Amino acid sequence: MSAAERTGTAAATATGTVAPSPGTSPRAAAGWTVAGLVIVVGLAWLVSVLTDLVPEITEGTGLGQVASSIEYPVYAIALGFVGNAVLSLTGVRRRMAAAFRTELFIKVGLVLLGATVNFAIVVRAAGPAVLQAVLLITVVFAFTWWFAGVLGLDDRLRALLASALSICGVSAAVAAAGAVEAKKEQLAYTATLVIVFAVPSIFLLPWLANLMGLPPAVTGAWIGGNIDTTAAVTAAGAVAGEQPLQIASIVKVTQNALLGIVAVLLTLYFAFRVAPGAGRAAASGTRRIGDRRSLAMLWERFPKFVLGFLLASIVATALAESLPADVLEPRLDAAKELQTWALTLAFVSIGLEFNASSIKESGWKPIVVFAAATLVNLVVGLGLALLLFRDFTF
Amino acid sequence: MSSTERPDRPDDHKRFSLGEDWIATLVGLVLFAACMAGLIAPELIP
Repeated sequence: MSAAERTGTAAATATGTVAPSPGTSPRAAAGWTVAGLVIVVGLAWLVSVLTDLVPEITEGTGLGQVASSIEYPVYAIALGFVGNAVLSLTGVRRRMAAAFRTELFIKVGLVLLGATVNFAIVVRAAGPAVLQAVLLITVVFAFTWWFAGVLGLDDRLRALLASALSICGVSAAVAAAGAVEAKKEQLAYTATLVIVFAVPSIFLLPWLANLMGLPPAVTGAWIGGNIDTTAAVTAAGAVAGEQPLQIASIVKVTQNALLGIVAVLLTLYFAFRVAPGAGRAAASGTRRIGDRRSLAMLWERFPKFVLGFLLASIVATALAESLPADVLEPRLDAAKELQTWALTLAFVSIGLEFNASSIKESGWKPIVVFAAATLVNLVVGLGLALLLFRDFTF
Repeated sequence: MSSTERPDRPDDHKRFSLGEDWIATLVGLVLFAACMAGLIAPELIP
């Protein structure tokens, strides 16, 4: 595979757009996608079996306590990696890549998660979540932009790294890439860095939170504010527990919702400061915050699944007031089961689509920027989570 | 890989990506509505 193909694949995977392999007919491509879906669903089913079976088998043995504490995202990501290795060795993984839809599955899961989050919690958490998101995005974006500038990185790559680190990973990088007209390769590097840093965080942050004895809401806020991709936030939240997952989701959904504003600001900045007179952005030379095109862009970039999450939460909360508990409980249980399935499919896909090859081509500077900004994010995020969520009760 | 197969600007991906955003939202809401209407029982889900 050529370097151009590799970076193209990374960018395509990052954005959920997967082009068929060269020389593959549409029918064969569809066949490979169906085969990939069968593998994703099969591995997710295996996850549910292991989650039930392993604690049963190991009960009373030395491994019993460890086995009962392992949550389903751990099995899902581990099996995804195993599947990744097997499919890579047999040379078919890339052909099946269209089936590994982490973003799609995670968004379906998050809409369903809304059903299990009481809207009162959303309302109470919204204030601190917005404050945390605005402060964290500002600090992390500013630090990343500055530090990447110190190391002499290109302005467009600075914008991509800063957006990915401060807002919501790959989706933010894609939105920023559109806003600043970044190169495809720059998006591929950024997307790969996001995933490489996010996967260990899924296990590291819940472990550290437990070690520090953080309360569930602070744990959730720390996870939601720190890990870049929404899928990894959800996985880490699920590892940490149900209450941390709820707060982590609300915090991350809030950051997602701010993506449009950052994209508009970046477009304006690049149009007037960095590349005046060049590109589409500058072509709209009269654009101002609040004009019709900026508002249209805000809506265009707004992640629509946030609306689904809020609607599900509102409807489920309203039904809790009007339906008897014995009628509502089984229906909420069904929504929760489907949510677990959607999230499991997403976590399996994280492992299956992981590809660190393009990181070698990015050089050391973006890696250093990413590592330093992640550290800043961790420390500032912990401080803000403690400050804003320490008194939060469920 | 020809330029017709792979968009040159990353922004060209966004249409599909945003479409996927709507699809995920609608699929999630349809599943949620089916659960709340009692059409999908927990016993039916493996």
